[in-house]
Amino acid sequence: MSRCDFKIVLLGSEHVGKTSLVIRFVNCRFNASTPYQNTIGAAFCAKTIYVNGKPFNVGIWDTAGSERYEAMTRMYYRGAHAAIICYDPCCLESWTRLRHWLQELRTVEEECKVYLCGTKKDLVDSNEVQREVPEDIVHTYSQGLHGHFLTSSKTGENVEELFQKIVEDCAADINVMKNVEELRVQLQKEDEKKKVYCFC
Amino acid sequence: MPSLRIDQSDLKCKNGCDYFGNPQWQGYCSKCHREQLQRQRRAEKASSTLPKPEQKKPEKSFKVTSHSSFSKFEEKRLRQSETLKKANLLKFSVFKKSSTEDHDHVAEKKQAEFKIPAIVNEGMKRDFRLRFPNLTPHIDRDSRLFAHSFIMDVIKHSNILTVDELSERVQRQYQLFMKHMDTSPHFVNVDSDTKELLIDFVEKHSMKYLHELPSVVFSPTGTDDERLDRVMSERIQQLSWVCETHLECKLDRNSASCRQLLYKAISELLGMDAALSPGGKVARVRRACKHVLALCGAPASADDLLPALIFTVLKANPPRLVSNINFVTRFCNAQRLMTGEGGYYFTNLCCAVQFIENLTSESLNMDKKEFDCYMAMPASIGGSAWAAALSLCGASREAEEQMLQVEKLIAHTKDLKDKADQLANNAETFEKEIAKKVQDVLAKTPLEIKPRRELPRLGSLKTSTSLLVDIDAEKILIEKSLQESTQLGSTESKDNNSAENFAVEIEIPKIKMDNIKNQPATSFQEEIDQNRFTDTPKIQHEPIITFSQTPEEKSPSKSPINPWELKQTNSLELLTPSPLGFTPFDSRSIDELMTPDDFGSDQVPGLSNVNYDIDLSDLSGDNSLAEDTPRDQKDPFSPEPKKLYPFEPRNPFSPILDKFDEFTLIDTKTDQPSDAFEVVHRASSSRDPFSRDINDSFTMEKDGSLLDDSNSPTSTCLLPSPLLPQSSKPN
Repeated sequence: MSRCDFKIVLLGSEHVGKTSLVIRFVNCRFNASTPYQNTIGAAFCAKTIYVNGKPFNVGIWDTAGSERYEAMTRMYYRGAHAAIICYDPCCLESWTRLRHWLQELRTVEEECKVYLCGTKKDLVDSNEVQREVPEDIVHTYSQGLHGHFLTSSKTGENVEELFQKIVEDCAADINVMKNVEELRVQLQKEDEKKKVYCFC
Repeated sequence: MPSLRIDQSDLKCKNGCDYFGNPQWQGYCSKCHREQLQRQRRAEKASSTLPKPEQKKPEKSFKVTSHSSFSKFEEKRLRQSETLKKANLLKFSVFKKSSTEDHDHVAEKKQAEFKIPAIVNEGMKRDFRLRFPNLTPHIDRDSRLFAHSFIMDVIKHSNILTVDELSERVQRQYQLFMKHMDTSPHFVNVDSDTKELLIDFVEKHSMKYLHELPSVVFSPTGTDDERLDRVMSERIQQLSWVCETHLECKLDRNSASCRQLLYKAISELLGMDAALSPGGKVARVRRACKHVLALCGAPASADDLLPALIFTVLKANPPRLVSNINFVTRFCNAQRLMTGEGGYYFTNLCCAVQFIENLTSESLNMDKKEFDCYMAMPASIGGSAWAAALSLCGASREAEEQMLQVEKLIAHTKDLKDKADQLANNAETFEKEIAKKVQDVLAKTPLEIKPRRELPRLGSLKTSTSLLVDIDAEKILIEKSLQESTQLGSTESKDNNSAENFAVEIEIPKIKMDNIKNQPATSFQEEIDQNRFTDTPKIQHEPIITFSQTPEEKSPSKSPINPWELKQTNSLELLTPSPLGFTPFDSRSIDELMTPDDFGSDQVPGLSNVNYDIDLSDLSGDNSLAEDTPRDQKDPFSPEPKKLYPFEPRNPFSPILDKFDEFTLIDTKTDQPSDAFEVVHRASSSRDPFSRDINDSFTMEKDGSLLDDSNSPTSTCLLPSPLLPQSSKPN
């Protein structure tokens, strides 16, 4: 389980439901009444996802959403293949914070794919709470990103789809990356001709 | 052999000086390389204004610093090799010059080349076999080759590159190996997980070695690591007052399990410094974080993990924290560090450290004044509650460990006891079995005791003796003995005894008598029966009676019959001496040892004799066998036979001191007339030879009644007969 093909980082303000999302995805379970149950170490999760019959091991990194740790969060970005930025449609503040995350992400890891994820869809759908983030703004904003999903960790709606999409994108991308990588290494090899000495 | 693969011309020095070059010296020979190096250093000194750059200097100086410090190391090594070379020169100076140089260069090359100790290679080999028993030896070899080239590469470049560049290079090495695994035919059948493990394996072993080299990869020169370590340690100490409420983490100080978990996490964090490879360090961090996660309560999100981890780090204050973190970030396989679970927790640790570094009143959600107040407080005051709890935890843990140990010991002793019991049982059963077997065997083959047959031997002996000894003398003896025996037979048994005792006294070798006694009664009887000399029936009856009474009484019965016979039956040794004068007895030899000298000086006044006697006492006859035999042969023919006899009986058995006192006294008084000697000796001999307690009593009784009458004739008769007829004549 130590091996991971992709690294996906979860970002977002406190209480937007990052951990719930992860738990939902990894364990296919959401328990509203006793949210913390059965799972240990939701901070880091790994799951195998199949794309075109090929298995990919995905490591999902949860981050601390508390504002006082925000400054350090960029450490998590390093080498991330994809980032999911979560926001609560019913909380405008979480949306404004989102921009901050995005900027951070762009400066640290340019190649990282970014996905917007609105959580608590079931609440929004049931009209229990007032939606604060206008849909059109979200839509326009997500144009420049790799995708936008509105998910519900409670019902599991769109959760699978979100991660499947991410892994598919990454898998499609990795072939290209691999080729590039190979080329780079080959060039390096030619650069420095090395004698390998036998030491037997 | 590497040299076989490389072209000869490649081995020569780049300067073309016809010596062998070495890739370690950039293709120069040792001499040219040193010159080159010195030139380089001189140029550097001239160019750089900093003679000895400090650690704090900005990036630019890194190169110089690291280089100079490493070159110092290099220089030292070179110097060492130089001295060795000199030693070699001295050694080889005997030979022709050309050969000297060749030898010298080979030796020098070997000395100066940086060699990775064989332990690394060996360790890898062993570990490989342990961890990947299913992989082919090709892979083993490849990984070792790679590790070797990796280490060499790092060492080669550590003096040239900055730490960041070096780290990049190391990362590229990892990638190279991964590429190699993807492309090489050896790795076709290896799945990706194993490849990952192989990379870890190579990283572990090569970095383990490099870690031990001072200032190469771990807190390398040119970095701030060491200073930062100290700063961080002080900072953490200062923040010891920070408790769980400040960090808003849900920890229960009063819960024992909570304390235990925290303690475990802390010990893992402390163990990070002890791990040598980056992978090992990351594994430690991972384990620590697992404990922390458990501490938070399941399932903990990152929101819970981070504060708890910060708290743990604050309480642990791990040594060389910054150095360790930097070491891992620089030289751990980046792929792994960025994606794996270990990577996640390590990142969290980095975050925690950064948080501690930048900790302010705001980040703790507390008033600035209060914060300052806390910070001004001496470190020793704060955090005592947790410290106490943790120390308690440590103590309890230690106790637990000891309990385990004790339990183990108890189990061990129990095991031992069981085994001992088993052994005892085994022994018992074995004993029983053996006894049973023995009984079986006995039952199968009952023991039948048949009378001993000595008849043929006795007969032959008799014939031989009769030839050897004068028949006349024998006859006389027999007659006398017969007479005696008849008399004795008529008289009481006691009288018999006394008479026999006399005979015993007279007899020269007492041992014979002993033997006679020891002999079983049956044999005696037989002897007696066979003896045709003993015609009288009385005698036959007597011995039977005596046997039943006491063992001593047996001997008397025979002695009257025929002393000769007894001798013959007892031992061959006694028979042999008569013609040749050979004496097998040590006792006798002792006598003779003293005697010849004595004899020579016999007429000389007594003092000298005294001395010799003392010597005699010291003599341990047993040891001086070799000397004895020749003398024995002389003695019988020596001119003074008389004196031999008296001495013979006395010495062997006599308790020495008493006798000598007597002896000396007599000598001084009487000026050693030979007769006087004899008397004395006889008296002593009569007592000594047999065990005193019983015999003495007998002799005492006899002395009164029969001694006077029968003693003198028997003694005269018996003395001469055994050894020398000569002696009998004068008497």
